[in-house]
Amino acid sequence: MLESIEALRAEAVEAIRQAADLKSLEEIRHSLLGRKRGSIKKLQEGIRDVPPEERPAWGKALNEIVDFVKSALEARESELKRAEAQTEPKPDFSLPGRHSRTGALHPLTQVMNELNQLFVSWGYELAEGPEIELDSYNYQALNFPDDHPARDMHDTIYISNDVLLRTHTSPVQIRAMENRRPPFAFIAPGKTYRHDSDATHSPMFHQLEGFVVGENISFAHLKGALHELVNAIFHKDVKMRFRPSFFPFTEPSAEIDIACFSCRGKGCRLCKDTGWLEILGAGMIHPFVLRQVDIDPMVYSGFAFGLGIERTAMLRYGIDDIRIFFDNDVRFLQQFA
Amino acid sequence: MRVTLGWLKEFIQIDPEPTQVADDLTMLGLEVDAFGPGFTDIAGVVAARIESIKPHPQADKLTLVEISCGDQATRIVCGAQNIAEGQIVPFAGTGTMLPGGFKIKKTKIRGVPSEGMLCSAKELGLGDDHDGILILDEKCRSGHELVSELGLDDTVFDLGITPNRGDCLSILGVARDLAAQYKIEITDPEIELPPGKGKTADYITLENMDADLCPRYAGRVVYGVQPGESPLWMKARLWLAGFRPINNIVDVTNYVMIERGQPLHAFDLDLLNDRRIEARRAAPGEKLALINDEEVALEPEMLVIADGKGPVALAGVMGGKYSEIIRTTSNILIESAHFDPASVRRTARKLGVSSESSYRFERFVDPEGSAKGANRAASLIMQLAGGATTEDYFDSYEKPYKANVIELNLNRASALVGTHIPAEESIRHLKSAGCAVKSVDAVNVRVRAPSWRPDITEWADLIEEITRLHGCNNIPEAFPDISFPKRGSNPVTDLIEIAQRYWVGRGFHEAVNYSFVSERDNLAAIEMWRLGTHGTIVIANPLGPDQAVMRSSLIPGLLQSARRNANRQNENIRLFEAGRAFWGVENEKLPDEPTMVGAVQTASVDSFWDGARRARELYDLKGDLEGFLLRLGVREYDFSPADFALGREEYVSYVTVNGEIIGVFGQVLPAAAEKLDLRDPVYFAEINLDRVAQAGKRPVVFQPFSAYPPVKRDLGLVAPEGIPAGEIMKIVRKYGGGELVHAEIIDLFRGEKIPAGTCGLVVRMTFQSMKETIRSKRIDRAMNRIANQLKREHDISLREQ
Repeated sequence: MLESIEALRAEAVEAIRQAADLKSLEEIRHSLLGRKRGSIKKLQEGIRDVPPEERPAWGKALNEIVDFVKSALEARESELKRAEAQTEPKPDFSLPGRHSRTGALHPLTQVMNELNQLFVSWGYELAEGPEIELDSYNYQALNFPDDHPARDMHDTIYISNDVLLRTHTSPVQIRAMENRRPPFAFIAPGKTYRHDSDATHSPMFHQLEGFVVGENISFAHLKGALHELVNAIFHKDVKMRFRPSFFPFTEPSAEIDIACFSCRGKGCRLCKDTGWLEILGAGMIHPFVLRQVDIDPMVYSGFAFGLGIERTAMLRYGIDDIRIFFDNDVRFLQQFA
Repeated sequence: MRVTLGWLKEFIQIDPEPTQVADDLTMLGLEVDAFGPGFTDIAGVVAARIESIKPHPQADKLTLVEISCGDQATRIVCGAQNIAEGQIVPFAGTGTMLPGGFKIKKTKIRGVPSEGMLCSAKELGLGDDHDGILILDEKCRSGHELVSELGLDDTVFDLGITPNRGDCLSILGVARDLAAQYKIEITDPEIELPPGKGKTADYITLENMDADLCPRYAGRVVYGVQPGESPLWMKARLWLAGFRPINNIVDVTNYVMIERGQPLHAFDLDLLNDRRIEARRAAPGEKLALINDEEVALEPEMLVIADGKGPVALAGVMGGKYSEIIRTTSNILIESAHFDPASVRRTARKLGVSSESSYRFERFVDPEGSAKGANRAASLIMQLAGGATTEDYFDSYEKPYKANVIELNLNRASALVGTHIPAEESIRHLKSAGCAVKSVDAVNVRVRAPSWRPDITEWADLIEEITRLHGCNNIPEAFPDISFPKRGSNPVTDLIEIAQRYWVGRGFHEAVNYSFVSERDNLAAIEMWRLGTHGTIVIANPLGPDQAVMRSSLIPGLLQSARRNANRQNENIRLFEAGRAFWGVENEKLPDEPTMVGAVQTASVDSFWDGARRARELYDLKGDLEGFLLRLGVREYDFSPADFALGREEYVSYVTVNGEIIGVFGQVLPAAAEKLDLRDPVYFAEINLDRVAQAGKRPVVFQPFSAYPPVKRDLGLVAPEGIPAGEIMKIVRKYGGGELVHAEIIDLFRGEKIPAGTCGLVVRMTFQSMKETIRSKRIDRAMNRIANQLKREHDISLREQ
């Protein structure tokens, strides 16, 4: 009887080797191991005719043949699968994936978010104020008296006599300080408006206001904070200068220039041959302003600064017409993805 | 303000290079916008001496002129009649370029060669006179460049003077600042006038009737003058300063204004009615014809200068036509005053007229300088136009200027600057800035500000002077310690960030639109958000009709942006924006400014390289919107019916939370899309983040899930048309029992397989028990409950398989 097992083994080896594809291999598996009509099943059924003393050997041989057939099938199956996989088309990694395109944050948002994160990491809080503002906040409390030529510094868009579109983010200083006692450090980013429109002026633009009030805040602190700021904006150690200037709500006041990075100070079109680029306005908060919000200027002092977001983005990305920011052409926007 | 180096040097002895001076001016706070030689476009034009003039052989009106330029002789043909032998005249030789790009070429005129031309003032860009050749001063050296002989090559600094520094709208003021910087003395001697004859009162009666609006009024008479052209040196200075020479009297008033910052006015004395001048407020109904030929209606709060009959000048703003200096004037009154700055500004603004004079008066003119200004002008006029002055002059100065006296603690100054500045140094800086400084004790000083610096009113202003003269760039840098406790940020700010990240991830580009839109566009937004008539915020002085009102929604701006893209053939436009809208509130000065997020999806197609193409539709943007609401923490909301003109009927919806509208969503009315050059369909969504923040985010509470296997069952249904899927699902969920963990529609169809007027749908349900492997009997019971309820409520039947 053991001969019949050996014969089956040879038969199975040959059949499995001959199997051309997975389907015929499956048929062979069935013909060998099938529960009802498989050849091995038939041999197993033959055990009844085997004398009892030979049964253990017979059983062992049967188990062996089952294991053998199974592993032979497995081996052939993986051979066939490999072969089949060879014929499948390979992925082309140069083809785009599905839905790969995302949108882009507006470059102004990117600059603003980056600055917000920077200041928050330094310990500043965010403050806000309305974009439609009262004259008293936008001007009077900031030491722009009525009938004073300082008002000519801003071209105002009015809603009514005493309601206007804020011309700078500085009124947020007043709004924030009304509700807080020193020490505090705030930034107030937001939209601002002026009656002006050309390649470098937009009727709507963005500023970032910063102001810090405490007991020993000095001009030296202002210089240090702003130097860190411009370094962070341009990702390098930037040469900077403070130039005395005038803002009604700071005293002393200064405008801050950075060395023109286009010409490295030699003079070019970007810096209008001055070698410097104006980037910030700043100063020590005027005692008048502190008194407006009942903060004693003999005890506390503070600094404030304002940064133009468009100006910063234009310098950073090499944009020379401010109007493109508000045109929203996707060929512009998608460059910032 | 255009300031020339040569003029500055009349007040201060300085020798640095112009580049250095420019840098020093900028670092003093007098920003140099540009600097360089004044006239560069007549280089090559030289002074030449006319040696002989002979008639032209072929033409009566032309002459042959022999000229010498240094040691070179040239012959030219000339048509001018005003030349004579021995005169010095401007000569442009062959090859010279004149203003306007006119190049001199060697030519023959009526057969005689001419090697250049003699120039008129107009040809040189130095005036309007085209009648004859510009005759130069005898002192001009033949053969030398014209610009240097006239002083036109003097360095001009174009300064941007801030509104607090009215004093620097003059050569004198700028010289003072440079003197403070260089720590040198300024030379400004008293004006010596020749002894006059007669009294001012013999010529005119002067009266100042308003010491508030006119704190000082000085008047000086010069009689017997001869108006005429100013000499070239004066014209040159005026040209360089940006002024146009007119006649020697007017030129002197401008010259003194530039030099000393004191605006002056010269009246023709003989034209003044009743020989009277008074400073007073305008009477109701009075009018005045100005020298710019404009007639203005005066109001009682305006200060005028009047004669016996009526106003002859708008004080500090502009003179009247009537008493203007003309060729026949022979007796003049020079007015040198200090007018109230705010009053001048109000008048100028109200009437829409302004002048170099009003510009200065608005910025405060030194009241202590009035008399000197009048005397300087009288002296110059007598020098240029002859005449003589009286023994005395009129001066109304009832309330002399009171200087600001300020106490300053020098230690506090050092603390505020952030570096120790020795007391002596601070005092030195203050003195050089024109302040009188008295020590009170070791650290306190009492400072009297100069009369030309009204901006110095308190200690902070003194610290500014110290900082400025110490040098901003000599102050060290320090980093402020701001390690004190902070408060949390505004929840809306966080929502904006979430929104920006979300929509970008969904493939939308972020737009930033102007906050103003056209009134028409905004009407649609007002209606959409149900804001009512008081909702619109109208701009009083808009930049244009497209920017007439503040936006009430971001959608109109987004649609306009989409339109611009479509017009440029940019495809598949999907844009979003986060920003404020402006909603007027009845009886409130300031509107509500809700922060909105809007998104627009234009007709766009998703295509893939396997050939698949699918047009984006309503449910695409709805999916984006639902995902957004989830990210915002809005878990329970409804899409409620809406109807507004911007949207297509039946295709728009409000997003509501507890009945309150937090958003709008839907399809733009096809006709409206067409007007925007956008291909239908265009979808939009807008969410009010303020309302989302008010509704609050529901805190997440963890729900445990089952460890036993889930069982899925599908329910095939045939429903009459018009029953919202949401309604069916509500019943499924309600009657599915506690073990129904999930249900979704996996197929929705219409067509031949089911009766007309119905739609087929397949609901896939997942059942799972927390306690055991769920038994099919329980599932069958749940499915029956659902089926019965659907039948009862909506006549929905099971679909035969």
